[in-house]
Amino acid sequence: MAMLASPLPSDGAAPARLAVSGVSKSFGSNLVLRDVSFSVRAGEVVSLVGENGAGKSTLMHVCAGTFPPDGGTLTLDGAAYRPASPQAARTAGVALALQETAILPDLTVAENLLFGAEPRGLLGLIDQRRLHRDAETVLAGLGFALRSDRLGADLSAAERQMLEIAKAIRLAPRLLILDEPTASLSSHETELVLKAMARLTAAGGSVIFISHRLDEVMEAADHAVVLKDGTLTLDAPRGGFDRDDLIRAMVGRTLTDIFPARPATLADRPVRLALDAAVAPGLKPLTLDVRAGEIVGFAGLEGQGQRPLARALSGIAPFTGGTIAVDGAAVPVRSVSRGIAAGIASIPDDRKHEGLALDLPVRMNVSLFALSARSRWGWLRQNLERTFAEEARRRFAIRSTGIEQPVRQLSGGNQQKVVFARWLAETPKVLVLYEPTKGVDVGAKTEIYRLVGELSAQGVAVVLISADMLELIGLSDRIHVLFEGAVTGTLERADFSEEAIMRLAAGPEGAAVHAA
Amino acid sequence: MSTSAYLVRMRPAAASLRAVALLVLLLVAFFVSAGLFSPLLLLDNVRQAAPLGVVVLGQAIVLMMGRLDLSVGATASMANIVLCAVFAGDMANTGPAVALTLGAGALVGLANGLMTTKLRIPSFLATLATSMIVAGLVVFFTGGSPRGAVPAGFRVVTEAWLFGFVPYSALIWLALLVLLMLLVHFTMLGRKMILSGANLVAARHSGIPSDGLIVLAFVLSSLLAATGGILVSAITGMASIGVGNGFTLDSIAAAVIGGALFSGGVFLPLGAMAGALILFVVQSLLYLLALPPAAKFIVQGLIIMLALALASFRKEKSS
Repeated sequence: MAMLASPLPSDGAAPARLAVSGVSKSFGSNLVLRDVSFSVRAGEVVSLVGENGAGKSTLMHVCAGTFPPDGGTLTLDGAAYRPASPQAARTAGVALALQETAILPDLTVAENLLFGAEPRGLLGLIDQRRLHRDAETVLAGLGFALRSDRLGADLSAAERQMLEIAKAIRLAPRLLILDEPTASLSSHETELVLKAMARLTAAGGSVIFISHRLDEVMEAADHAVVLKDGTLTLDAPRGGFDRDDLIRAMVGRTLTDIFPARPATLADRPVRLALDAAVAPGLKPLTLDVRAGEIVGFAGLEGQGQRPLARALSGIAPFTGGTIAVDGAAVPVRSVSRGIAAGIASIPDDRKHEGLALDLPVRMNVSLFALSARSRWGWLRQNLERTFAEEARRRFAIRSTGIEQPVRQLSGGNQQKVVFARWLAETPKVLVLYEPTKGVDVGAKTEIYRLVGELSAQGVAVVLISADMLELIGLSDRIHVLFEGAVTGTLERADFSEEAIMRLAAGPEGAAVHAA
Repeated sequence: MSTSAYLVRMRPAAASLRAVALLVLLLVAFFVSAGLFSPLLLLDNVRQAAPLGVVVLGQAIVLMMGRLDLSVGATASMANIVLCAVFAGDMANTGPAVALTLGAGALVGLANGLMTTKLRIPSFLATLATSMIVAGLVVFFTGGSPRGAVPAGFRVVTEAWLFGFVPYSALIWLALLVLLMLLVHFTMLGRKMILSGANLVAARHSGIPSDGLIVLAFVLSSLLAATGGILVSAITGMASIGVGNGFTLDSIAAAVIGGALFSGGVFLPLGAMAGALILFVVQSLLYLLALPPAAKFIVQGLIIMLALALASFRKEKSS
């Protein structure tokens, strides 16, 4: 996508849209931001990158008026900027779209989008027709395929995120702050969000864009700012950094260290997981062999059958036809517990809703399968649970104050490690990963990839369903591309590239367009 | 592991301790206004609070599952009618009377559980519906004038004291409390119930048969409500329509005062016990102060508000 070059000279002829200088912030004795300075110019996209816990969110909330900095100053278009609240920041023209979306479940898309600014009709009542028309206009302008009359509760995570972004963009802010807007989005939707950002900057607006996906940063950022442990470690304009620079600034390691090495050939290994003409709602007959120790990736735009595949393999929404065999023996995975009994472990994509009991401690979240396997007469062995939880915390490098800390208080990456720890209490035969590193920082990603590499080395067959190209290419031995519920193409490791995947992902028509 | 370390780990949750602290304060106020300290007076409060306390345990289990049981009052009232009718004042009928009463209670719970899991009716509406049906059935079968009585021999359950010091009803309460604590915190079944209550979808996706566990929770709640009804019957000795109706709201208030959360995932038996006692001691205290009836209601409301504010303190701090 063509991005705008920065319209203003860098020597500061015009004041910066937002200038952050010497900002510090601590919570209690914990110094979260340490003397951070950077600036965002008018019409510019600045990518803010860093591991979870690096201080990105704190910095963003300081900019958006959630809380004031302890030290340092902010200026907006040259004027002192000290918002007392997010409302004050919004009035000043700074809008924030959060990753944890604030969509009201009982209101429609239109009502959510225009919340507080509903068009009024007779007697001051909300003019529903105009409300929906206005909402449709906003959504169509952004190219977001969201019907304005759907209820918030019925939206997928991706759709909620799109709506949240639309809400912020609708305000036509001077500065738009997006917190990991693309974490739950497909490549296509991500493209739409990046386009919307481009349109905003073309109109003179500015964007601070937080993302864990480095390809997006490379594509969208006019300027990249990297935070590590609350300190600025990189501040470079487009062209002045590459992917490795970003990673090194974030974690002090390079890309090749992130993914585990893959064996040259797996052709001699036995087939662990075999699907034969397996069908599920939203999934056309699928035939698939995954060998012991093999990692098979599934790519595709969002909603091309990834979710039905993940849910069918895990037994949540079982296959309705065909056969599924593990180690040559047919195992009808008609329920989650049948799947578990057959040795299939599956990591859900939505850890908060489908994976974890957020208010319960790490101990209770990790121990379920370990306890089930070892309980006698239905008694819960508390000492064994404690030992297991402590061991899991070490093995999976879960950073928490201890095994009694509620999971809600952990970072996304550590929450994900808790999910892994629960499912991997016993080494499974088949591991189904569905967006395993969504909203997870690079450090935790590296640890998860290392773990997946170890498991595959032990002979676990891994099915990796992901929208993260870098992850698919880095981890997989083979990639199947899904389009409208069917595998439209398969790539071997030697042929992996983002372009090749995208070409297949666009379906027959898209492939023709790309080829032309 | 040493026993002391084990006890340290089992220390009660902060919410339970706050409820206990409030209870102690109220007791101090109670004894100061009574002008004497008497352990027997305290134990008599425990004795009288036992029926409610038993019902609260069931409500707490349902709350742990993230549900609400509005039928406990009607179930306890029904238990009183069934018990008295089957007893007909004759000690020889003890077995059938208790069994039929508990059986009827279990049926109510089964209906509640199936309605919320199979028909997907929100639990507070489903249980409201069963409570109306149960109350209606009671009036239908008794024609509005219930018959029978609890024989004097059975009334020992609430009226007699072991060694003249510990009321039997307090022991029953304590025994049920310990049983439920064992179930929830020391069995896999209980652990699966907590996980289901804290996040139903995640529990299902981990292969936990959550629907069955929800039905179990409602059955337990109704069994405990029926037990509460039996204890009330032992106190009053006679059948009268609607004796347990107050249990519905009192049990919710007591459980929440004791730290239960409407969002589920929490079971604090000690808190539930303190909650029931707080409601009771407040009443005794107000009675003692001889306030006019209107002032009693107002003060009682204020103390419940204070107790609930204390119980929700942790949530605010952590969020």
